[in-house]
Amino acid sequence: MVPTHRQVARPTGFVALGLAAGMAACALVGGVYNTFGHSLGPKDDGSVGEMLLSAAITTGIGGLLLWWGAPAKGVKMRRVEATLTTTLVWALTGFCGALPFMIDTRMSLPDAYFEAISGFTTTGATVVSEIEASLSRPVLLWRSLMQWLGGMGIVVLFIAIFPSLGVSGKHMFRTEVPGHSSEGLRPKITETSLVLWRLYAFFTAVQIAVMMALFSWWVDKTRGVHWSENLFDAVCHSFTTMSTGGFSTKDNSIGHFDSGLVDVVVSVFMLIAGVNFSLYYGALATRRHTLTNRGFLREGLSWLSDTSQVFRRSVEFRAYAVVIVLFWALLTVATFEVHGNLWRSARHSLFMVSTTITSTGFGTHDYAQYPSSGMSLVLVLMFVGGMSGSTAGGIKVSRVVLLAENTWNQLRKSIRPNVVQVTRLGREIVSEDTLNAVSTFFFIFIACLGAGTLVITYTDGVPVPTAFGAMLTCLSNMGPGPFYDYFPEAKDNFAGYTGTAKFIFSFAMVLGRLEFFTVLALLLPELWRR
Amino acid sequence: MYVVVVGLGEVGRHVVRTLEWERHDVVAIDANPDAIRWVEENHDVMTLLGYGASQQILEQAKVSQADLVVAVTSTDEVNLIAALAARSLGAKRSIARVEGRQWGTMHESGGVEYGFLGVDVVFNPQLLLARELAKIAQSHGASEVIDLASDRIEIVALDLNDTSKRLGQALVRITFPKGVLVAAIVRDGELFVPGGNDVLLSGDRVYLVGLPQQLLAAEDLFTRTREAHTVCIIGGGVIGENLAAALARSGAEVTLIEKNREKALRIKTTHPTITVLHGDGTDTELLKEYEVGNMDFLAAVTGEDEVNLMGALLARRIGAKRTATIVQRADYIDIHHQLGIQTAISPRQLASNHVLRFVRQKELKSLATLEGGEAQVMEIRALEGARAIGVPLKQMKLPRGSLLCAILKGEQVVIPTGDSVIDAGDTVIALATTRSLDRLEALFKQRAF
Repeated sequence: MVPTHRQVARPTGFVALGLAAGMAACALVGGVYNTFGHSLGPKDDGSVGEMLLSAAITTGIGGLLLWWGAPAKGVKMRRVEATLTTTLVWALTGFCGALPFMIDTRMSLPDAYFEAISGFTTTGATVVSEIEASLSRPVLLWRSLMQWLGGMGIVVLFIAIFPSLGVSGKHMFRTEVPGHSSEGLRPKITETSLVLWRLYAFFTAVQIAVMMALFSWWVDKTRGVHWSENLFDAVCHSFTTMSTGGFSTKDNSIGHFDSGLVDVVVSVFMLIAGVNFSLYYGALATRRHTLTNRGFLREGLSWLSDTSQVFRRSVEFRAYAVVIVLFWALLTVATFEVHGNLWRSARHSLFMVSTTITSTGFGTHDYAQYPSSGMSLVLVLMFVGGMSGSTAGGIKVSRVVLLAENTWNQLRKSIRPNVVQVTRLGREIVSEDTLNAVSTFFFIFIACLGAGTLVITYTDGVPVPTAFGAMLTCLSNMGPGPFYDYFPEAKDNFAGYTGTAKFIFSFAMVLGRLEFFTVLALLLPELWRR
Repeated sequence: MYVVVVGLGEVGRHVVRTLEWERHDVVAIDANPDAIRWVEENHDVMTLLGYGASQQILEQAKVSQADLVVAVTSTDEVNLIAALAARSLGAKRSIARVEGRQWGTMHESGGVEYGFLGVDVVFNPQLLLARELAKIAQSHGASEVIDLASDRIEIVALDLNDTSKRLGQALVRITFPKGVLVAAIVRDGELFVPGGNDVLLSGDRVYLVGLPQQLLAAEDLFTRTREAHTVCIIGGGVIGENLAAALARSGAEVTLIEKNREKALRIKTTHPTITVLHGDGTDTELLKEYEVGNMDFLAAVTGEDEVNLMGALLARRIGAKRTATIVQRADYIDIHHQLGIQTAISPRQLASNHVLRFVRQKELKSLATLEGGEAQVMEIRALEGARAIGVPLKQMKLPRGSLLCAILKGEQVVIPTGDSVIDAGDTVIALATTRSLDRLEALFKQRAF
């Protein structure tokens, strides 16, 4: 069963080359802004060159891997290789992604690695205390780009670009796409990946346009700012919204704009990103109606009902919607005192619910004043997470629904043992195997959370609730949020933790993003025995 | 091309494998979760678990957009209904496999019927197999016979051994009958298209292509074998009965051994000219008593691989020279050849090859594959403006490893010589190794200016 290393090296090398291209693009954008008289950031010049140096090093790494790797064509990858490839790609992206932080921002290796992994896993936790004052423009863009690439998935993008992967691509696809089952949308996995990335890019483009419009006409804080600066913020924030990442270019995150409109728009797009992308595909693929003049309204309405049927039929989507509305109402009530009036309370609660359930991690205000009832609502949402096949983290709504249903069935069985029961998710009958996998997933999640908390209290000596909060926020890819503020000098970030702890957190983030099985399966000893 | 495959038995899997390899979009349907899981693990195709003939499942598979629907489950009725439903839902073409004898006039038409009940192609692999075996028995020593261009051209394979004639002679020195070409030689497992200076060796497998009437004379150049006049068939199933009937019709003396008394009696009743023995085909005494060893041809065609193999081996031991078996598991074919059985055919491989012919019916029609895919025989239409048009063959730069076997000018079949010229609109039957395929195709594509 020992995986063929050279087979794994080649796709990893290709991904590294892709990252290098991304860095070069960031350097280019920085250069363009510089040429037209915009500030490059704290160090002003220099950043472009340093970004290019990172790109060059990454190209070198990618080139070496390609040179060493065996040609992937014609050779069928087994599941072992596919799993190893995905894990290695994620480990390597952390290292390559860290280069700009080390070279340009002069971070230490653990800091830079943490920042990069937090980027690609769309966690959004940071070690930078003063973002605006210490990060240059190319690095800010790189942070957002990392999240955007990691959101829909680097490996999925790789599969979309390389059509000749065949069934190996399918195995790799499964290791990266979150959720209890990842079904194909199109006969070929390459096309499925392409469909997902297209939808993702489309929503991102729409958000950029909407944000740009808001910044240009409605948001007071952006008045008088040059349009190209607004474009930069719109792009960076859209990248990190659709990927449910949560990196911001501002110290105060979305709160910087201090606008209800921006809050609502970002909330809506976070919630869009938390939906299973195959539902959008399903909605697009419904019967096309001919829009004739006569029955324009009727046809339009029937198209709408056909399209929305895809969503209405999905049990997971209904559960997702119910959870959002319920927690929104509860949080609005719980934080009413803090905000003073219903409108403010509702606005901030909607944002808080969206940012938490989708594990984005944007902030609009200081949640330190929340009553503990509000805090516990947020805590529960951190566990739940978004839908399967979305860019969000957490346990995923579908798993929660299945766990609940299974628990119900087991309870009933304990007193009425002869009752025959079937667990369903909508029309689909869920097999024992799937239920088993879901239960195991839940156990691993809790076990990792416990073990991680334990280790962090040892390495850093922080109080248990703090270690727990930090670990949970990493495992669920949430990032910034309540619960782990401990170090007074590093508010809202991870700068205060030791290097060891940062590596453990990085590992936890990858575990959470790849949903445990992919990474943990590689630790099986039988895999490495010859 | 968008293909929906219903039924993932051995034929279905083979079709799926080939289609995936050729980069078609494939949706596979089966009611068995294990079959679905197997395909999910091994192929990059979409799968659907469910009853293949159900309208709902077919709609889910988007058959309305399908270019072809292949129904190859183990049940005839499911196949026919699935193929019909697919057509009525908007699929462009559909093809169904049947095994029973009750469908249409399959028995007269030799295993394929077009447009039966509105299904584009209905075929019976067992009847196809019986037909192929009959052709082999009637040839002069061929171990494989492939029809092309609705029987107007044939490809035959000859296995040469020490008793063969003209070993060691350069091909240019051998005078072939008009209308026959040496298409390919397989030596030590490798297939190549020979030139005039190549010689034939013992152990080679030679593919000859040409007009069916001329091929027998060409076969005589190499072998001393004649068409089988006395034939023994072990097994009286669909294949055995149809093979016996076909050979008896063409005047051969046929002996059929069947274990089941009722079946034996029924065959004797319907085909009075056949000698039917009631007994076990693997019984050496029986084989000896009826002098199977002296017969020209033995075909073991029961449903069990072991019986077929043993019957053929025993017959060889008592002197039979030409033996043929059917093998359910295609993987075992090589072993049969090693054991000295000339012809071993797998019904499932035959069925999937047949299905694949219809898949490829677009610009480039692949008609047959040789040696497990090392070379393909295909039909190419010469389009106006292609480089191959208007040039005598000897001046045309054909890629190495390819050969033009025949030119179809309307109804007329021309076996090309160096002076032959291809006109626009002609159909060319060509053989090409996998490596030379693209370059051969380029010759027939319209030049882009």
